[in-house]
Parts: sequence; C-alpha cells; structure tokens
Amino acid sequence: MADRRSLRGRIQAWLVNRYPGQAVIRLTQKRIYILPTLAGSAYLLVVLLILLLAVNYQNNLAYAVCFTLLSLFITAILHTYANLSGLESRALLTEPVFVGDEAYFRYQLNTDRGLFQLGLGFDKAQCMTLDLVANRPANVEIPSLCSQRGWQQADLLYIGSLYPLGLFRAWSWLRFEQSVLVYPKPVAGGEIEALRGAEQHKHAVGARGDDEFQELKSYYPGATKSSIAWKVYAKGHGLQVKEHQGYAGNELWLDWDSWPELSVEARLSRLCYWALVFSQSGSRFGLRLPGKQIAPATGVEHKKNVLTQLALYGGGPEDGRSG
Amino acid sequence: MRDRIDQLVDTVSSVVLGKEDVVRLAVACMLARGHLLIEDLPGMGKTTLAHTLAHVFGLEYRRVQFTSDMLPADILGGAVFNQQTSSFVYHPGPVFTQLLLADEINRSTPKTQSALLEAMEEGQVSSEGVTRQLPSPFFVLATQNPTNQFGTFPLPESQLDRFLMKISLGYPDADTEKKLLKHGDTRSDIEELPVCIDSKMLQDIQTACQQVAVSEPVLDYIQRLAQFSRSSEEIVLGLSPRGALALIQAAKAWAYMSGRDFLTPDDVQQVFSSVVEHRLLIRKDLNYQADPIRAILTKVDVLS
Amino acid sequence: MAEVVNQTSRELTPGAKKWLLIMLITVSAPQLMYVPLWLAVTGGCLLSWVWLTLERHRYVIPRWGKGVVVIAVILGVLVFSSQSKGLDGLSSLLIAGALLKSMELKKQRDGWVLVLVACFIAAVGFLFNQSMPSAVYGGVSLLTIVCALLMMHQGSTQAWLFLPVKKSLFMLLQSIPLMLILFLIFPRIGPLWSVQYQQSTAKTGLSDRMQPGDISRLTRSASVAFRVSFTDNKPPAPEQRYWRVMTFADFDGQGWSIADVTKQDMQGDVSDDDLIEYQVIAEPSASTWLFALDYPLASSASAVQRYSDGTFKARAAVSQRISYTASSLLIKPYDGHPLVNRPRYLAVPAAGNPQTRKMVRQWQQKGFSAEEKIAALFKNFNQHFTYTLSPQKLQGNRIDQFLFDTREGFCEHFANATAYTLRLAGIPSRVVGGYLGGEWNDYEEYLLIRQYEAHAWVEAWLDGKGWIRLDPTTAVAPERVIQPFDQLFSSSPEFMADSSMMAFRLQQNLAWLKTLSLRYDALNYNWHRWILGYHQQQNNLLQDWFGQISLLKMLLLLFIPVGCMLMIVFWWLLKVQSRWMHPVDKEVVAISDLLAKVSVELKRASGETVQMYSVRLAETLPEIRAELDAWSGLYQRLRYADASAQAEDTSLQYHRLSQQLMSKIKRLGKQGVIGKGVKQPDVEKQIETRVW
Repeated sequence: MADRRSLRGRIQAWLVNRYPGQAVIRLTQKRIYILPTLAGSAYLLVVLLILLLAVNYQNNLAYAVCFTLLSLFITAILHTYANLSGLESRALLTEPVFVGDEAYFRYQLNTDRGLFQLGLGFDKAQCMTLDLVANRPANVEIPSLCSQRGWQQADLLYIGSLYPLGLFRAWSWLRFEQSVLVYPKPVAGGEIEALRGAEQHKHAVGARGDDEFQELKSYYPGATKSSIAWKVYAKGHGLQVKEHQGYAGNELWLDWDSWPELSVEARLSRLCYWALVFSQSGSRFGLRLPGKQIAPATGVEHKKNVLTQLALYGGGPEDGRSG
Repeated sequence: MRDRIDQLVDTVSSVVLGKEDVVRLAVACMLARGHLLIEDLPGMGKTTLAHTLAHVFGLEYRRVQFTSDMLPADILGGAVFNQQTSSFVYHPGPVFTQLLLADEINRSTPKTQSALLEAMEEGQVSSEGVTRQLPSPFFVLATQNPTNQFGTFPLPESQLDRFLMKISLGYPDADTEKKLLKHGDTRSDIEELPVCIDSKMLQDIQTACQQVAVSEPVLDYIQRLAQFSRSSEEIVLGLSPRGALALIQAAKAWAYMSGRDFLTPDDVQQVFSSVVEHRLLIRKDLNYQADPIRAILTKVDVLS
Repeated sequence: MAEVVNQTSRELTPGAKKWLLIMLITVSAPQLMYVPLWLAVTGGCLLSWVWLTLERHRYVIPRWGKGVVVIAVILGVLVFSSQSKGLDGLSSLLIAGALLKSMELKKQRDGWVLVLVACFIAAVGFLFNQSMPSAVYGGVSLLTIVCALLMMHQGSTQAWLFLPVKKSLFMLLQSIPLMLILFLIFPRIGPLWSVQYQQSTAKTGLSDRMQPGDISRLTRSASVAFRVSFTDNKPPAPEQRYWRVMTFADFDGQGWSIADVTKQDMQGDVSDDDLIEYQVIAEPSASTWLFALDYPLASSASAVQRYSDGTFKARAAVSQRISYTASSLLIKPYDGHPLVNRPRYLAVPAAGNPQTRKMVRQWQQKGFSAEEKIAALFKNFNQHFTYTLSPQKLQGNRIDQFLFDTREGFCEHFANATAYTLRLAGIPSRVVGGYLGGEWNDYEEYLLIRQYEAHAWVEAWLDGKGWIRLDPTTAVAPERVIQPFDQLFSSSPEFMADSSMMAFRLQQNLAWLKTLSLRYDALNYNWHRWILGYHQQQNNLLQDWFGQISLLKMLLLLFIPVGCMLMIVFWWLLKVQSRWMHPVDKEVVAISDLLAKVSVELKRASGETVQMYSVRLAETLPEIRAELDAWSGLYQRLRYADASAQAEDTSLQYHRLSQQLMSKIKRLGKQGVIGKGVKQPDVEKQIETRVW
C-alpha cells in the first residue's frame, strides 16, 4: 500500500505524524525547513562562474565580488530563517459552510518582530501573501473547498517565505486541531405541503399567528390606536389597552420521510434548503430525523442546530472535533 | 459646576439606592449628549432611574411603552382629522419631549424601532413632507429586556450604536436591598427632589465636556483598543471608528465629572464597557469564562 | 494591519522594475567605453523607454518592432564580438543580453535573469579597471543588485527608494566579514587555461629600439612605471637608483635593438651585506619587461625569468599589475666568467662616422688603455656638451654630427655615442635601458618611479672587471643623477609636454597638493600591493600570521570567525526590537521593573494605568503614598494634559520625583518593608471595583 502512495502523500503523512495538532503553534527551528530555491541555485552557479573568471584572470577584485555574493548567500539563510522564526499562529473558529462552498479557515498570526511577505495556504502554489507588523495580530482567512458534509479537518497549512532575497525558501507545515462543519448542499425542490404535519393544517405558510389576548391595561402614551379597547372605552371604563401575549409563528416540520423517493444525500440537501427558507421567513419549524427530533423554534441558534443535525446525519463522524 | 454634578449624582443616588456608579455613567452619558440604553430585567429600577434623571435635570419627560403592534406614527405622531375644521391636524407624538423614556423598546417591531432610532440620530422628525425639529436637549432613555427573553425583537446591531451607552443596573447588594425594603417605594419622593441642573447649565456643561483635551497618547491608546477588538478571536465584529469616537465622547464627559480638563486612559477604561459592549458582536458559541470586553482592557498596554 | 494579497502569479511590482533598471544602468555604465557606441545609444533609448512604460502603459512598441530591435542588436553584437578578441566582446554580449531582457520585464523570472547577468557584468567590469574608485563603484553596483533582488521579493506597499537601500546595506555589511575571511584564505591558484587579455598599451618611457636623433623632442609622461618597497625600508642612495630593464647589444648604424638573450638561472645563493631585497609592483605595460635594481640577482616570483644580460622578464606580457620580489647588489664583483660572444659587443657597421673613427684612431695611436679612453671621452662630454631635452635632429653620420657638431642631447644620445665609440675602440659595450631615480614616499615607504625617469646608460666590458656601468650623462649633467628629475627640469618647457602634465606641475609647486598626492599614491600603492596583488602576498601573509599552513588550520580559520560572525548576525536578526518609548513612560517602566525585582506582583500589569498603579502601590507601600500621588498626578499632566497649558518645570519636577521614588523604593526594599502582603495586580478587578 505504502508504495502506491505518491511521494507528496507520504511526506504529508509523515508531517502529520510528526506534529500533533495544536491550537497555538510557535515556529522554531524544529519546524522550519530551509532550502535554496531554484533561483538560489542559479545564483550559486553564477557565483561559480565569477570564481572561474577570477581564477583565470587572477583578478582579486573579481574574487571579492565572488566572495561577497557568496557571503550574501549565506547571510540570506539567516535572514530568511529569521523571517519565519518566532511566528505564532493560532487557529480560530471557522464558520460552517455548505458542501461545494469554500470554507474560510481563520488564523491569527502574531509576532514580536516585523515579518515580511509570508505566504500562507493549503497549497504551496496558491498562497496569500502578507506582511506582519510587530505585536499587531493579523487575522487571515484561507479558503478550502469542502466537498463532503460533516466535520472536515483542515489540511496541513503551508507557511513560508522567500524574503528578503528569494535565494532561500523557509517554510513549515502547520497542523492545527481545527475543523469545519460542512452542511449539506441546499437543493431546491419538493412541495411545502409535504412538510406539514397533520395537526398543523390550520397554519398556512405566511399566515400570521394570532396573538392570544392577555389583559387590559390602563392607557399610556404611545399605545397604538388599534390596541385600544374601544368597546371598553365606550362602556365608560376609560381608555384601556389590550395587551397581547408574545408573538408566535406557525409551526412546520421538516420530516425525513417526506420524500421517500430520494437518496440520503438528496434528502438532506432538500431538508437543508427548506430549513434555510423557513429561517429566512422567520417561521417556526422543527426537524424529524430517524432517531432524532428537534422541537419547533425560531432563531439563529435553532437554525444552526438543525443544520448541524443535517450535516452530521448518519455517516458524518459525530465527534470530528475531538479527533 | 462640578459640585452641582456631584450634588446631582448624590440626589439621584438617594433614590436609586446603591448604584452610584451606574448613576454616574448615566449622568456622564447625558453630559456627553448621548442616548442611554438600560438593559435589565423588569423591576430593577430602570424607570425610577430614568424618571429621577429627568427630574433632577429639570427636563420635560414622557414615557412610551413599546409593544409589538405599535406603529411608527404612535411615536412620531401623525395627522388626525379634525371634524370642526374639516382638515388634518398634526398631532405630535410622544417623541416631542426633552427626555423620552422608551420602555421595553425591543418589544416593538423593527419598523417602529427604526423610526425612533432615526429620530434620535437626526434630532428631527419628518412626517407628511414636513420636518419638525425635536426639542433641545433631547435624550432617549430606552430600556430593554434581555434579548433572550421571549417575544422580543432584538435591536439591529447597526442601530444599537445610536445609543452612546448601554448600562445595566443589576440586583442591589444585600444592605441596599434591606434598606430598600425598609423604605418601601421611593418613587413618590421623586417629585420632591430639587432640580440640580437646569437646561441652560446643562448646555454649558455639555460644551465644557466637548472641550476636554484629548492628547496623542490617549488617542493612541484608544486606537490600540479598537485594533485589538478587531483582531480578537472572541469578537466577530470589532469596534468601528464611530464606536471609537463614541468612546472618546463618553470618556470626555467622565473626565469632566472627575474634575479634569484632559482625558486619561482611566476615563476610557471606566466608560469602556458600557460604551463598547453593545457595539461589538461577541461570538456566543465559545465557552469563555472571561468577559472578552474586559479582556481587551487587560491585554492592551496603556503605555505605548 | 497586514495587507493580504493573493500572489498566484508572481508579477514584478513597479518598484522592483525600477530597481532592476537602476541596477542595469549602474552595473553597465562603466563598461560603456568598451562596448560599441551604437549599443550604448540603443541601450540608453531602450532603458528610457522601459522606464517610461513603467509610469504609464502608453508607449507600447508593437511586437514586430521589438523583434526587429532584438534581431538587429543580436546581429550587431555578434559581429562586434567576433571581431574583437578580448573581453570587449564578452562584455558587449552580456550588456546587450541584459538590455534586450529589460524589454520583457514582467515576471519574477525575468527579474532573476537580469540580476544574475548583472552580477556577472559587475565582476567582468573589474577585468577592465581595478582602480580604487572602480572598486568603490563596484560596491555600489552590488548594492543596487541586492536592492533589486530585495524589491523583487517585497510587497508592493512598501517605499521603494530608501527602505530597500537601507536593508540591502545592512545585508551587505553583515556579509562583509565572511567575505573578507574568504578573500583572505581562499587559495589562489594559477589560471586554469590561458586567456587572451587585450589591453590598450600603456605608455612607457622605453621602447624596444633606441634610435637617438629621430625625434627632436622627448615627450614623456608622468604616469607611474612601477613602485618599489624595500625589505629594510631604506632606499639606496639617489645615485645608485639605476633600474635595469633591457640591454641593447646590436647596432645597425642608426640605432640599437634589443639583444637576443638566453635564459639564466637565478643567482640565489649570494649572501652579502650589500644585498638589497625589495618588492616591485609593476604597472601593466603590455610587454614582458620587468624592472630590477642594478645589478639584479634573483627573483622569487615564478612569473619572473632572469636572462643572461642581467635583466628580468615576465613569462607573459604584463597585462595587469604584477608584483614580485627581487634581490640585487649595488656593486657587483666580477665572477671571473669570460665574456660570451665577444664579437657581438664589438660589432659596428664597417663604415660611417669618419670623425669619430679618426678620434678613436688618435687614442689608439697615443696608446691609451681602456680606462684612459673612457676618461678622455667623458672629459670631452663634460667640457663641451650640454644636456637638453630638446636637441636638434640628427641626420647622416649621426654620431659624428652629435660628437662634433651639435654637442647637445639627452641620455640616449650620450649612451649611443659612448657605446659606439667604445666599440670602435675595441672595448665590448652595450647600451642599457631602464630608469634612473625615483620619488621616495615617506608615508608608505616606497619608491615611486615614473615614466619620465626613463634613462639609458652604457655598460662596457673591461677584462678582469667584467661589465662596468658607465653613465655618460653623469659626465655632462651630474645633477641629473642626484636631483629628482622633475625638479631639475620643471622650468624647461619641453619637460612633459603632455597636457596632463599641467596638473602635475601645479601639484609639484604646491606643497600641500604634493603631500596629498603622495598620500593618495601611498594609498594606491597599498591597494595595488595588498588587494590587487593579493595572490602574490597570500602565502607569505598567511604564514606570517598563522605559521605553517595546513588544511586543518585553514578550516578552523574559516569556520571559527565565520561561525561567530553568523551567530552575531543571527542574534541581531532574532532580537526583538525594543519599542520606542516616551521618556516619561520609560520612568514608569523603570519603577515597575525595580519593584518587580522585589516582588513580581508589584509589576505594573499591561492594562493598568499609571493612576491605578500608583493607587495600588500606595496600598502596599503607605510610606510613600504622598510621593506616589504627586508622581502619578504629574505623570497624567505631562502625558495627557494639553501641552501648551503646562508649566515648563513639570517635566523636570516629574523626573526628579521619579528619581526620588526609585531611591526610596530601593531603601525600602533593603529594609525589607516591601514584599509583604502584596496585592495582586488585577486590572479587571480594579476597573470593576470602581464602576460596578
């Protein structure tokens, strides 16, 4: 099996094993790798050519040029290394996304020296570049495509720099204990009728729920005209205001069994779509999944709750976070 | 004038027992020409505080109870048909007052909230093509129930920052509560309180507050606070430049009340929480023990 | 705040392009003399056009236009470099390549090509010119190269002009120690293959044929011929400063040509008190002649070959400054060897110069010995001849004309006539070409010999004595030998007719200018000796310093200082830059640090204002409560109050109070008062207690 894996895959696996996932990572010599770039090698070649020139013409100033360039090469190692050393990165919370979207993994970078032209990305070829000011934490968001619902672990994060001269590349792979929750992809379809529970027939979508009358209060400035109990006023009891109980929406149920003809993922996608629609319109809705039920409610928290259940349904690893 | 302020604070504190700090903040808010949002559970003395403040400043005072079926016209006023003259006559709403106590503001629909908040922002009301100036000074003391209560429409974040400060009274401590129980309702005493600062003097003081000097190091400090709030993990939306300006405004009033004509980081720290808290969007799904807002104060160095 | 840029395609920023162009101009500018004029002009146009396109994208040359330029330049350069054999061709090729590349400056890769070519051009530049100014210029070129490289890898937001210069300068300075060590110990080996080195021929005071009378005026230059330093730092007396370069043995009736001579081993085994050891640094001359003090014995340099006529020659033409050590004897004892090839030194054309022949016949009739003949001739010179730098032209029987008619001339005339006459008289003789004199530089203790000090004299073979030096010029003008040449003739208009001589004469007249010039020449001398000629010094120097050289020693020498240096640079790089602090704040930090030594809890927390801090301190240290209150009040006024409203002495008062506080704290600390029942710095709590 191991032979079949690509070299890169093996390196990745080795890196994953080498560094345990952490919340905060400080770059030290244990983690920073440094090698000459291709351009750096070409530079060395030119230095060698100049050395040949110097030797052949016995020209000591050409020797000096050669050695200056060579020393610069060596000094550049330190500079490039120093441009990464001491960088502190912290994984921040990542907002859940839908399948097919890009999750933005958020990181906070901090340093006590100014660092320049840091490249960050899950792919070495496609990096964000940023300059860091000393003691000014910077947040970066790095997109990563999510193709599967459930908890998705962040890839190894490449962080590297060519600064200052591009002769060397210093880099590190960071593994954070970080994952993102991926909701099913919302797919429109199906009829709203199918969602209605038998006992909720009187509620049509969009119908305003009747507030229940609670009590009468004496009039106060600013009370709406419609809430004034005119009948009571007519009876000579003075201005009274009708107080109503809080605002209640209609209740809807998102039911796993509404579309038996669909596959599991398609069902989840559709449920997800309707959950979003209902949240948008502020309707009260509940969720019924095999072995799981969420009581009807409204609000952002509820929506999150529902979507999470959909994301983690069945195959989704339940505790991806701790893993 | 500062003795008058102290006297005023004492007076208010004699009614709103054991809450001198909150009273000072509320007074500072008014001296900084800011609107005040009081968030608390019912029965904590929000109305008493607002009422007392109105009285000791000698301000005209009205109270509006917000409800879910309230319409903008119920606050701003509207045209009413007069049968004698057979014409529409504009009836000013309760907003035309020097101090408006907007009770349970988050019970009304966003539409109504917006109407009030707009009036607060602009200091005028436009109705049927006529723009009517609100009186000066004009304060709104709004109270709201904690937003997680049932049947509330939370104020939108974009409009929350119309309020300079958001304070909360909280339960009184044991001694105060005992005293409170002994004395019974103090509300009837309010009418007998002296007017400590009249509106002329209030305007002078407000002008004086504006003139409190803000030095470079303090500006730096405020900038660092804002910067830190933006890069903090626990905070989704950091402090906006407008929020930072509000911070300076409130801190200036605090500095004036402390008897200084220049701003120090101490003033900023004192008003920080009440000015900033409702302007930040704090991440709720993290279980942080520490208050992220006070964490900002502890982590940002005062010396640059 | 960090700026986030997506960097999928590595385009060059305008700043980087600007620096690449600056680099290109700087690096190739000194070599414009060596490239054809059309290339220089084309290059100038191209670079200005590229610079303009940086600012706005209006002046775009169409594709075919670029193609034409590229093909034309390549063809031109190929033609040029195929015709020129030396380095000019290489330099033109490099510069043309770089220029053409500058038209296509888009990606980072293009920038790299330019940078690498520029490195090479900078090195090639030193093959043309190795003077001190050009070395300084080379340093500047390297700086621009580093700047360009830095800009290529820097964000576009940063300033493009001074910041990269500063940073590059730092990097170069950090590299210099390592460079010096490498320069010092890197073993210098001989050329790997022979290279053609074309250099414009230097002016010399010598030529390989001596024909007096051809020119009526001697034009000489003040340029340096060579410099000599002596092992015991003492130059020989002025009258002994004869520098032997070549001998002329063949006379054809008109002039003298250089003798074919055979190589000879060095005479290294002579040990004598009179032995003078010295080191010569010869300027390039495009010939193989070398300079040695009469009489040369040996030279240790491998490039130097000794010849049978007692001269030194280089194995190859001296195209660059070379330095060599040599030893000489001022008075050479006769070694007893007979004269080889005697007829050659007596050969004269069968006819011509009847008057001279008559004079010699008279001597022989009188039965003069060889010495008497010489004395008679010199007496004649001394009594009837004048020394001049602008003699009349000679024609026909030149020697007759000179000896009996014009009776004026300079060294060559006298040497010519003397050698001819002696040969007629049966005394083997030859003319020696070389230099006489030299200017002693006190600052660096060396002798400087200029081209105008070229001289010719005669050597005659006397049986039992060997070759004897005869300088007829001394008979005519003894002061020519003793006095410096320039003093002697500074008033005569023919001396140094070169235009550059004007400056030189001015220099000779102004004392301070002369001092300055001597100092500069001393510096230049050291430059030549230690830098340009380092490959000849290296072995001796390293042995002097470190004894016998071994590989281990070399490695240690390389790694220990390099390691130390790199450690220092590394430490410097990783060091956290200390924040700039207001002096008023510094004292707060100082007090806080002082207290932290006693108890960590007394350190000021980061969110703690000075006011809060002083209140907290006052609780633990009630002894100094009053001072603390005053101090924090002053601090607030100083730092936060309107500056214009402040009394002038507030700052003074504050600093005094700070000092007072510190000394009190120290005293309290000694008494052990501090540190008991310390309150924790709890900023949250403090803020809280005052508000909620």
